[in-house]
Amino acid sequence: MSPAPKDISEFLSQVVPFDALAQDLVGRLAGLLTIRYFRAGDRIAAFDPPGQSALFIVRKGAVELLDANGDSLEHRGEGELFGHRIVFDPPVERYSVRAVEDCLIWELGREHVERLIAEHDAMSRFLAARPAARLATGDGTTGGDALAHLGLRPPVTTGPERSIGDCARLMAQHRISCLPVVSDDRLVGIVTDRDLRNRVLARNLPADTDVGQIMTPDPSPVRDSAPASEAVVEMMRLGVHHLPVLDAGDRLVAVVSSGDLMQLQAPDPLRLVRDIARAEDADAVAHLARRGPALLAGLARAGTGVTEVGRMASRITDACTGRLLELAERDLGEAPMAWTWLSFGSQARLEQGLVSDQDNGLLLADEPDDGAEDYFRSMAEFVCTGLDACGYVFCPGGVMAQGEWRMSRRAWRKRFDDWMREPEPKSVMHCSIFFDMRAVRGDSRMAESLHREVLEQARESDIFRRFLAAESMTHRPPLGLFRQFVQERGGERSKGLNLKKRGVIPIVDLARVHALEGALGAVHSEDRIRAAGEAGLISSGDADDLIHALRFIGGVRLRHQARQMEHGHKPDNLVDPDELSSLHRRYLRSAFSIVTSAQRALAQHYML
Amino acid sequence: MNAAFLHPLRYWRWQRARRRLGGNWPSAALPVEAAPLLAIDLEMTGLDPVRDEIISIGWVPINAGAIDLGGAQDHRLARSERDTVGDSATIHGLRDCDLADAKSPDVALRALIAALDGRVAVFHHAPLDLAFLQRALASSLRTAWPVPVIDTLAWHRRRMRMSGTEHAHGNASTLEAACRRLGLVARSQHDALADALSCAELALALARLGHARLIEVAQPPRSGFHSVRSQGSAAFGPGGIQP
Repeated sequence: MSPAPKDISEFLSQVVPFDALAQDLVGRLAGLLTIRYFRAGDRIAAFDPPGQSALFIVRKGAVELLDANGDSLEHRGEGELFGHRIVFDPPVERYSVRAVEDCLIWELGREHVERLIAEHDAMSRFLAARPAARLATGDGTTGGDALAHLGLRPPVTTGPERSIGDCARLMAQHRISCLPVVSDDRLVGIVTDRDLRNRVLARNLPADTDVGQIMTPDPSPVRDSAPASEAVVEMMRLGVHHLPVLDAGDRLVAVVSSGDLMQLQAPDPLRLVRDIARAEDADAVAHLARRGPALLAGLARAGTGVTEVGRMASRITDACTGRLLELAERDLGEAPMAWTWLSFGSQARLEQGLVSDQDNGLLLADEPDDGAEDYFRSMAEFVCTGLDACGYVFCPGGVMAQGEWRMSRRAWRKRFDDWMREPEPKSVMHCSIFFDMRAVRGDSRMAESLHREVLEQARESDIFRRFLAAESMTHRPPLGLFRQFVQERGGERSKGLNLKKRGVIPIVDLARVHALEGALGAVHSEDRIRAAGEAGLISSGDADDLIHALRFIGGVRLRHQARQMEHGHKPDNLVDPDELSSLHRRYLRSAFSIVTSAQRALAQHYML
Repeated sequence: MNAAFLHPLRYWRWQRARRRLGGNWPSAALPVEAAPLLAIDLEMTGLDPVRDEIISIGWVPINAGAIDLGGAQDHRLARSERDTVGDSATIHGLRDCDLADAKSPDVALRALIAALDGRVAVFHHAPLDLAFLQRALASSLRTAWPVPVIDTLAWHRRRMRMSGTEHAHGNASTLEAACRRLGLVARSQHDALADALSCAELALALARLGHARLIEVAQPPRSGFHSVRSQGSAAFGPGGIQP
């Protein structure tokens, strides 16, 4: 092994995705590079298709990526890559690269790139699986391998007319616990071991019954292009252990089981959710839930994206809440009326961090009498106390079902009405999280209809939305970010950077304002921004930028917290700029500038 | 004129080296910088080739216009008896190179000769480094310097003179300053390998501005400088990389 000058490996270790590799590996890779020089205007290379050749790194200067017509797609500068598949908007099949300044370009040969992809998740995510735009990949996490790359076997299938006896023999023969039912090349249903037990044996159905009569029709599928982590989230959401996988042409290509996914990523959030759902009592729930943050931190360190981790964290909280509600009902008996357990804020948006407070409420079908009031107070106290023991500490602002936030649907409606009809800055500040609302357990339609009414009213309440927009401006990204300090407005400098307040919340608030403006039903911030783009409230380019900025800032925050947990500290949101690589600082600066310009546009729109 | 070349054996070795080089020489029609190059840098204890010594040698090959870090090498040389163990080595039989982590100069120089095979050497300020190397080669391996040489310092100065920017920027011809002026990585490490790499990068950049001239080292009569002209270069043209 030849030695490379130290500055080569130092630079390489700052380049995403090489920053995720071990130091000694980066050192070895540095010794494999070749260096070329190009003058401004030189054509450097053409990639048709990309991802099939060596990988290139801009060491000095800048290059321009061009489409087939020679139109500029984007510029890339020092520390940035080309040669791999890059997502452009609109997408292009091939691109060529030209020097726009005199350049030193590093090249890592194809054979080395292929080995890295095969051996290192961080590289395969970045280069092979789901190429995403610069910021999206800048956070180094795009959510794991696509299902298509897991090497799942083609499934054993049956037609709907086959008898269940034959199906059972087929399943025994192939040792499978799940059999997809296919008709005319289309998936029409699915049958599992459990169905044979619950729907056949338990009901004394004869063995010659058509499988079509007992199958679960139209099961929710996942796309083979989806990352494995998305399949995990979907299984957690549906409470199932098998998902049919369809390709782009809607053909069944595999059935992925929770077992397949567990092999991919242990320790496994699916298993945790399942164990929580079976926990004996509140103590057991708390005991299991306390493993959640470490498990999620492990996934974050292994490269799972902030979006997926947020969803998993929220699903774990949902599982705890759901199990505690079941335990409460077991003790208290049947409820005197229909109810819905609501979550607010980040849990509702499926954007929870590694640790989180609880924000919840109870929505009741009618005005409770004394007996019902006792029942639901006991239920709320049991669940809120249980959640506190799980690590979801009592909400400092008191937004909890055990406090005042336990009301009839009419009373909830009146609260929202009051906020929107006579808004004042203070009340707007406190009420905004209630607009991020999701039913966790109970009658979800009741929550949905309330949410819809509230959204419609918010769309009509210009003044309220103007207050909300003004409130969203109170958190602003910093003006600049340097190794030693954070540049604040008014020339001040501060040492630390609160990524939640200065980066995540401004985007979440923006997304909420747009959701209310367009009466968009989505609660997840990314979905809200995307929906706002589709509804024409913001340009689709701005929507993409904001989503990437949110993922990037959220990703930096998540990995900061995961690192703190690894060292036994309590996770916080305060990042010292010095702990970021220069490249991450640069990406953060551009993410902040996206937020700032979006805030400026909002201020203009509401004439603030 | 170097006295070493008056010795028939040395002259024969020089001719042999040229013949060997000739076998791998791309074509007389190509510019010298299109040949396989080896950028070399030395770290010395001082500037006097007679009194001072080489501490380390680093080199990086350039093939067809691309620096190949896979061929980079870095050697630390053991100091001679003069400065350290001195005459005592004759008594206890231990030399510095046996004591320190460094290699005997022979090992490093043999590796350098092997790396130079079929290449043109590139130095920044070649006369100084060459003077040290010639002395070391003569005393350790009893051999002459084997290959032609390009000097990036002279090359860069010539470029500045031709573009009329010499005076405006003063005597900005140190390796670091030259690299900075051409927008390259400006290393100030004084590490033989890092400086060899800077020298290689400088050669790549200069090759795009104009052809190099060969210094025929301590070479018999004809002329001290020799330029190989051509009509364009396959290796350095704007043809780009074919992925």
